[in-house]
Amino acid sequence: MNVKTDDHQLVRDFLSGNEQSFNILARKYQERIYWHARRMLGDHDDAHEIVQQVLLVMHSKLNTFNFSSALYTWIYKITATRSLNLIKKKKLKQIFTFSSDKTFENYGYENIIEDIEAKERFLRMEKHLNSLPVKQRQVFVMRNYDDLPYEEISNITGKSIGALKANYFHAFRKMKELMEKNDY
Amino acid sequence: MTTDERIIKYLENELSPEERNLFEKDLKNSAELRDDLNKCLKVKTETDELKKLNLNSLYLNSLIPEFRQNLDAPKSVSVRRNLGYAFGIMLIFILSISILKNFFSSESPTVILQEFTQSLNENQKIKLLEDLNGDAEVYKLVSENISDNELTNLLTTELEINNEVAEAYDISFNELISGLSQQKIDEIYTEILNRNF
Repeated sequence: MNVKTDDHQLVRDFLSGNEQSFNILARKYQERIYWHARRMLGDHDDAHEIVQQVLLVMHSKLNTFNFSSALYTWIYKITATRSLNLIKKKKLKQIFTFSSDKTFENYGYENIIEDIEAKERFLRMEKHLNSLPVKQRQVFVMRNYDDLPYEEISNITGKSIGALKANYFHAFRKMKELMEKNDY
Repeated sequence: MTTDERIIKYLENELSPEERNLFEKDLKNSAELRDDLNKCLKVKTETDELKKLNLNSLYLNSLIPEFRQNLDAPKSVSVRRNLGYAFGIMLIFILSISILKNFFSSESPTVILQEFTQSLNENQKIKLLEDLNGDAEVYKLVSENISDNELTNLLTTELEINNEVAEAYDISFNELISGLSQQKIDEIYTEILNRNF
């Protein structure tokens, strides 16, 4: 049994009333949801909020899942949309509170990554990621961290492959420049 | 195609076989290209390594219980929040309507002033004029509290009233003098002059 049919079976079990199947699915995907949200939002608390939101959406909307695609694509789409919505919400909040804080300084929950050296590198990269425009950041995260092919990114974001490639190129070049500036 | 584009396409496996061969040939001959490629490889390596990061297991184990708790929590908070939003929207709606109503129904100071002066009878006009001409304090108070435009309008209106009253006075004066002595006429005339007509 492959991952897709495995997931589909778990969804069917959940829809027929087995809550334990939902827990298995949640446990399987929660970390990936967290990382996508964290890389997009640059903040632990926001990423945590997205994980909880996505789990709630999964629980209430799994009955609308049509089994034609992989479950993860469906979950990923929800995660990506929710993350973008939260970014927009935060930007609006910044405008209305006249806040000049454009970078996300609150890295939150200190022990989320146990390896100290890796944590430092992660935070440095996160800072660079957050200096990318949202569209570029999104395609960079999906391509480099989540290893999604352009076709799938296009399916999730609704953007053309040409536009995605252009955004990725700019994102990559900017990341290279930022890393160069910071003496990696 | 710029150097960066070539490198990124090379790393993304998007160069045609010919372009790839040419790129690899150029790599052997150009130290600058090799340096640029290494910089791009650093981005790739760094992201690849950070991809493998694991989250704290205690945190991960806490996610589902928290979700279950949120799921079972009574909806009162969100109901209260929704009621708050509804109240806020209603308040904004009412305020907008009252502001718009005021905006469309409000009249300019000039219109109000004209309506006011038209509503006065002759005696009231005379009294108003006396107040404005005779009482410097009133004039000062009025002029300090209204804009230049409004002051100009007020003075124009005052002039109109002056003319109307002067006409009225002229008729009254002729009627008055017919049965009066010269001395009395002089007294009335002096009084009128003193009233700035």
